[in-house]
Amino acid sequence: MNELIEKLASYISKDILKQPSRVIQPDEAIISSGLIDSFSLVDLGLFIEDNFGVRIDDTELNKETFDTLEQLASLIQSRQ
Amino acid sequence: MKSKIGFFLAAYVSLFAYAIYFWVEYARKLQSLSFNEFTTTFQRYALLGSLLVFALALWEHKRAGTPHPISADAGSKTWTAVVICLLSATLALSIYVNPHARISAHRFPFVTPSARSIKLDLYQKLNSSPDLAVFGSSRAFTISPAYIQKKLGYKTFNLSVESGKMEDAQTFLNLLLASPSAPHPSVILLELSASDLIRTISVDDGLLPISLVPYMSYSMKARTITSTMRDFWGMQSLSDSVYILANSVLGPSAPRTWSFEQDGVGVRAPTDTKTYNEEMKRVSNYVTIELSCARINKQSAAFLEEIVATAENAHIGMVIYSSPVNNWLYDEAMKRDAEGVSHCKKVLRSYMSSLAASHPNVFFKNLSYYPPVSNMKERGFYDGIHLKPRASELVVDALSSELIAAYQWSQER
Amino acid sequence: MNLISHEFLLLFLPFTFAAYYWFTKTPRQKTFFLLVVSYLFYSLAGLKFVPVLFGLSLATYALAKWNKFGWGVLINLAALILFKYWNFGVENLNLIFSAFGAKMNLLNFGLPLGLSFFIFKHIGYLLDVQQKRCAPAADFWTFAAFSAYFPQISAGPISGYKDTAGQFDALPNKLSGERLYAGLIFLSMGMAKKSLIANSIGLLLAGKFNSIEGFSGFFPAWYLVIAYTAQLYFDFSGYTDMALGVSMLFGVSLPPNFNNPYLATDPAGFWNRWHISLSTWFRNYLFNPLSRGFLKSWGSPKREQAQYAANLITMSLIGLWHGAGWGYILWGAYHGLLLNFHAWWKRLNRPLPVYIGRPILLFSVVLGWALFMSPNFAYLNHLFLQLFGFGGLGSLDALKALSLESATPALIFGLALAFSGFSEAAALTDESNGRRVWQMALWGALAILSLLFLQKNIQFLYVQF
Repeated sequence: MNELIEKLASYISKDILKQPSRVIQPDEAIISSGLIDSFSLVDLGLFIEDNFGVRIDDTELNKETFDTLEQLASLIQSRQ
Repeated sequence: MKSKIGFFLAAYVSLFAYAIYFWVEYARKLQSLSFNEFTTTFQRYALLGSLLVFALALWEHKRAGTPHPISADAGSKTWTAVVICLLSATLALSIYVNPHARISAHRFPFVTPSARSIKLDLYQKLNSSPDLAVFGSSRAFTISPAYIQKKLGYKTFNLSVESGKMEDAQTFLNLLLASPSAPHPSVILLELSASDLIRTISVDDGLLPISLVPYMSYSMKARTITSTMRDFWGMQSLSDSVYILANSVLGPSAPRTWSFEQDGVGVRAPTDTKTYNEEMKRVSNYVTIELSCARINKQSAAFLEEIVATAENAHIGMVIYSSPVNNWLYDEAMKRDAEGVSHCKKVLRSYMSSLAASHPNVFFKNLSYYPPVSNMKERGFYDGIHLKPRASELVVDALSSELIAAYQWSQER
Repeated sequence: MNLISHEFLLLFLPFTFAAYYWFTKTPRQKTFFLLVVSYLFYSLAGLKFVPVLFGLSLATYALAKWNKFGWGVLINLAALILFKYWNFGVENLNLIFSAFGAKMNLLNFGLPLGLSFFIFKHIGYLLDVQQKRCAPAADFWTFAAFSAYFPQISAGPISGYKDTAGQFDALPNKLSGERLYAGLIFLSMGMAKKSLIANSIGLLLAGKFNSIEGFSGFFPAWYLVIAYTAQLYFDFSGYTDMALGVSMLFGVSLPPNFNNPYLATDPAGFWNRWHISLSTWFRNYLFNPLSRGFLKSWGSPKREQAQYAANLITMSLIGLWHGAGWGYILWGAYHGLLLNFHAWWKRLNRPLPVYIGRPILLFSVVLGWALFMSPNFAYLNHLFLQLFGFGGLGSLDALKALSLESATPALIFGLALAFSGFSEAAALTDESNGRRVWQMALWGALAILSLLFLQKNIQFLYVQF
């Protein structure tokens, strides 16, 4: 679980935000805070699909489905 | 939380500042307010008051903690009770004062012109049915039954009403046909302008008193009920009722523009040149609406055809005419849109001749630009469109042959 | 029929509400009742388009059942184009081909009430069933009730089949006290926003501001666009509150449409707060698939270009959704550019403090409304010249006259409310503090005052879209 969160966090900070030094906490709100926008969510969705073999549907890319890395990680685990 | 407090401060300060500002601008003249100024001032304060209620309602939600909380059900019951009380109170006031002649009670004077209510009363008091009835708008107010009787021998009643439209014509026709006591008129003289035929029949046009609902078509019934509801529970009725009540205590209300005689003809006090010029300026605003048109509205046309067919089945001849407009208005329209004016004439002529071709009871004459009357200017007009009595006599003269033909058609059936 | 009218509020709503809880018992009966009154509601707006609504509902239901999703989407889009965009397209084509003497004819059907809204519900349903996000409707009547559901038929909010029709299967026999209470607050708040604020402003804007000759100068022009900014929000969010409130009275929750949009601090935030049901629809069914496609085919290194393209395309189409006119498309594209600029700025990692970000966003949004509200290019040109001071400041008399209009206190109150964070009915139904008698007495009084101010038959702005 922690490894999963780390992988996600590093993808977000390095590839999406382009700020490698940015630390994202597991319980930090990433969608409702505006940290990552709609497009980056799709990007993240593709990354998850490619790396963990889990599909997150287009209609699930919103803060109602997950808002923190913890929630996202447990969503991924539940589908693996 | 800070922004919420900012809101309440801003809301209260601005509302009270505005109330004072309005007061300085208008209400200090309270003693000498004209009817229109009274309405405006009343409605402004009503709006300010409503916004204040709005702010208070939000404030109630903001206040933290409460010693006496209530259940959701009790809250909904409170809401319903307040709504029912206020609905009843405003309805009672509208019915008691009856400012717009919606019901046939004459406890107080009406603030709106109310030819519909007055003329229907007069018509129902007639001993025998007239031979000819005049329908139309205030442009036909001065068509004189006495003159028609003298000239052509037909007993006449003038049922034209302000803003009279085809909806009124249809309802009045049904009323005349439903009257069991006497035979109905043989001829109807209908004043109709092009603008009646190009507009869409809209929901806002119901001005008829609710006592006429039984004589209306279904769509008119719905329209009248809707507009009566809107009127009964409307700020206009409220402010007018308050004005009437205040005036009935303070003193007599201002004299009315038109009064009506036993045969329905409208009488208006002589006007001076200054008033005439002001009126002309006022009507010049809708001069092109009046005289130019794109095409006949299908809905309006169907409405007119229904009226014509009803009359035909009842063997009633119909003379339809467009009332002359002041030459000044016509020139103005020509200046602005000559093509539109001539196009409109053509459209109207071709439509009316096709109507006359399919209905033998229809006789049409377009007098909207009729030099003998139009050129009279101030001698013949109160303003751009309303005829003085002499001008109306010339209109009757111009329509004599049509009136006789329609009467004969009716007698031959 | 119009939600904000005497006939709806005093006749249609009380009678259908009473009949609903007196005569129907099971969810099935209630759904059928909702179907019947929805068609009654729709036909009171005009009988002409009832077959369009019914036909499209039937076609959508049947084609989803036969797995012909593409055909379903195509038929719905074809209807949308035919009724809404045909004349616009033909006019522009004629302009281009007039040199060759070719000319196509215009059609004069008129726009069916709520067309853009129910067609988007249909398309969402077809795509959801295709992607197995929801099961196809069990029977036509439930689907037809969803499609025509009267609180949302005239101007949304656009909702998903699973979400709304899912509630039809469990319609409660007795309305809960909490729901009724919340519904009445939503209804009263919506009426007050529409009637007291939006209409008071709208009556002024429909007058002299409607023509180029009617206004000139810097201050009147800014008054106009700021007033329109307030009018549009209070008109549409007032409508939405009413729609949600009415629906609650029948036991159905509809999705929210607004969340204090003018408190946003950046364009992306604005679109998460403005017309939420529409932006969610576009995100789910267009933006996300489009972005996914671009990312897959262009690869991650080109993600910036992919984002810019997806934003521009989506926003232009959101603009076009509002109506067939270049002003709407321009407005949409303009918001696309704003989003792109924001995405670019974000990559620079120089966050702006709220007190700078919000004014910049508000300024951009207000300029956007200037594009949106202009009926033609001449008007737009005139408006922008005045806004940027090329037409002088405006006469003192004109300003004094404006200050005495009823629109002005309504506007000031409206602006204070819009920035208070307190302008959504949803914020008022959280009663952790406990309820008071005065609260509901004031809301009841406000509902009646709002009713009294409805003198003419005034529609909601979004009904035309």
